[in-house]
Amino acid sequence: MQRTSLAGAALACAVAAAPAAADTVPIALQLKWFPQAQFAGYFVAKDKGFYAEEGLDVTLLPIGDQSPIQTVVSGAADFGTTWIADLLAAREKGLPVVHIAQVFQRSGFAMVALKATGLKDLCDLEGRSVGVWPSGNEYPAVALFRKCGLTSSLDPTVSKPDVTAVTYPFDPALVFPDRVDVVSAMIYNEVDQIVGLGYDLDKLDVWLLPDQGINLLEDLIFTTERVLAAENYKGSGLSGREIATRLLRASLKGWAYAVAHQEETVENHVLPVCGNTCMGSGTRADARAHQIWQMREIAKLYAAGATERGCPGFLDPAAYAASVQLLVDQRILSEAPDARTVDYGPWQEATGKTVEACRS
Amino acid sequence: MATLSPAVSDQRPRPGMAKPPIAALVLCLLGHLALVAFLLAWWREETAAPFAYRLLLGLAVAVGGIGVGGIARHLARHQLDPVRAFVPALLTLLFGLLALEAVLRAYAVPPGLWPTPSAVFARLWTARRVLLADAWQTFVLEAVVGFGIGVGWALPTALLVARCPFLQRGFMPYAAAFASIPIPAMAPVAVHMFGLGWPSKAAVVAVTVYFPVVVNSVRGLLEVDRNLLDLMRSYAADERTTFWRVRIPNALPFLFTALKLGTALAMIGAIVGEFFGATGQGLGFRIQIEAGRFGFDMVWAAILVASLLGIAWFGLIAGLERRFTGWHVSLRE
Repeated sequence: MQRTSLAGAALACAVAAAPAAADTVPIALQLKWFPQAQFAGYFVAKDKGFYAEEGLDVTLLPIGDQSPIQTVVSGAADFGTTWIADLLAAREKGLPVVHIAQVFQRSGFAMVALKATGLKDLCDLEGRSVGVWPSGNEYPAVALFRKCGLTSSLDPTVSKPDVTAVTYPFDPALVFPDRVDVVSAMIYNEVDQIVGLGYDLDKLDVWLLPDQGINLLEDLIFTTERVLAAENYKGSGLSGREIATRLLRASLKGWAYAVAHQEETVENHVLPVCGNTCMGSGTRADARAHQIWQMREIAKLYAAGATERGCPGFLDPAAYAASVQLLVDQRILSEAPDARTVDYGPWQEATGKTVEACRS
Repeated sequence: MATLSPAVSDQRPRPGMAKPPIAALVLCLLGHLALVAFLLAWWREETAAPFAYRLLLGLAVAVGGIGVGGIARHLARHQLDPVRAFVPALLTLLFGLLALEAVLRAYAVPPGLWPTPSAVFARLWTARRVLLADAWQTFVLEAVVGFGIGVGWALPTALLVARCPFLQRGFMPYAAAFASIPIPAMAPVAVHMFGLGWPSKAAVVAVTVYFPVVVNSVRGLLEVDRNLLDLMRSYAADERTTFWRVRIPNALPFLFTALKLGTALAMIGAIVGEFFGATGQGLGFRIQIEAGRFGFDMVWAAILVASLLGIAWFGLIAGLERRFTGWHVSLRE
């Protein structure tokens, strides 16, 4: 019996050691907001084990009205999702953030006004008040004001601005329509909330900023130079680049699934992880209906541009150049960011595709 | 006591009597010079300085720090006029700013994490008009007006409560409880009730200032030395005279303590209130919007303005306190 128990002990040791050898690497991905269908692909990749297949144990972190860049640069998260203007502005301020994949190929940023306000053109904003979100979400609005030749209270050197930018904590019901003439709204979220408040679409003017020549790329995946340069990331035995590659492969697989199975995704993978933040407003408060509608709108932003050409997650150099040009023209950036701002390596490794094959 | 005090003051060392601290002065000067030399050499560079430079810089900070400390210790041993008593603080500030500027430049710390003091001062200058407008909104319209409303309501309430034992039992427990409400918890509510403009922040400020002032004033009006009341009775003084001659003077130190606390609460309430929505102006709005876009030079400039205003306001109330309660134990020499 002595022998058996020794063997048993050896077996127990082996069992204990085995997971350690094939251990999954714990990493954190910082989402741009509270859980909702906007991040469906990541929830699917986690729930369906796409991350685990790649040897990753991914924690998806929610955030309120701060920039995801702060948590990634501080090291509290390893990767993050944010918008291009936020990323490039941070890069210009010396933060070593790197763009590694472009998930949404179109902007979903809209401006909404009551038809009764009588705004014929979105540039007729002089003397008007416009609701904007802080924390790096105001750049599309700033670009719009500047493109229209207007100054705003978001400019730190203008004391008598043409447009009053009103900040508020994200819920449009706080300001619209009583306190602002025009309000920022994501086509996949706040527009439906405003409709839920009793303003049907036929009572509203909705301007999509990409239709106004302001197509600033939105949800992208980024990390820092430090992560990409790591030889042995957090003692996992994998390089930072390898981990980035695996994260992208699993995330894009999750996105492809989410977009192809929208109702199932919302039902099984979005609603279980979200609380009140998934609800709409007023007559459209029901979380399930709101998220299924949001998933449909998100799918449109995902399945455009490079994704249509069979290259999901690809940052089209032309689209990137257009975003940069707009930000430089509107003096949000003082110059074009350096070449290290975008790293195609992990995306190419993850998808087996090349920049040449995917560019428009 | 009066006969003793000249003797005591004769034994005190007078300025100029002790030897000047030559060693400390030299160290202090060396440290400053080394920092300035580094800054001149590295002013235009955008990369991190080589190791040798950083080592020398560390040495300069250590040497200068010891020097400044020595001078401060020397001055602390002497009774000085207010101007010279301020020298150690001024020297520490100057040296701290120089050292911070040099270290941030030597390590090429990105401005999106920590801007250099020179960048903050430059921004303070270029954005002065905007910051003035922000300060008007936050300090005058929100903090001072809110403070005025809060105190304006608190004083009659305190007088009423001091007259009515019923209110002392029924109202004061709630006032004490409300005095400890954290302001950020109230700000979103106020924004819903009064909108995004300055009145909602003034309301937050008024409420937060109101309760501490009530609580303190009532205590001051009621916790009067029995002997004084007995004395007044023995003079056959009427209620009114007792009130003006005993209760009010007794309440003043309590009131001023609450007012000084109130200035800090008012600044916090106004700035934090703006984080929950603002109409494109205000120091809190500026801090929030610029922190979100990593414009920390502007954030620190706004913090600096808020701090200076807060200190000046506190100083004003403290000055009034000395003027009106100079007889009080805590202020007697």
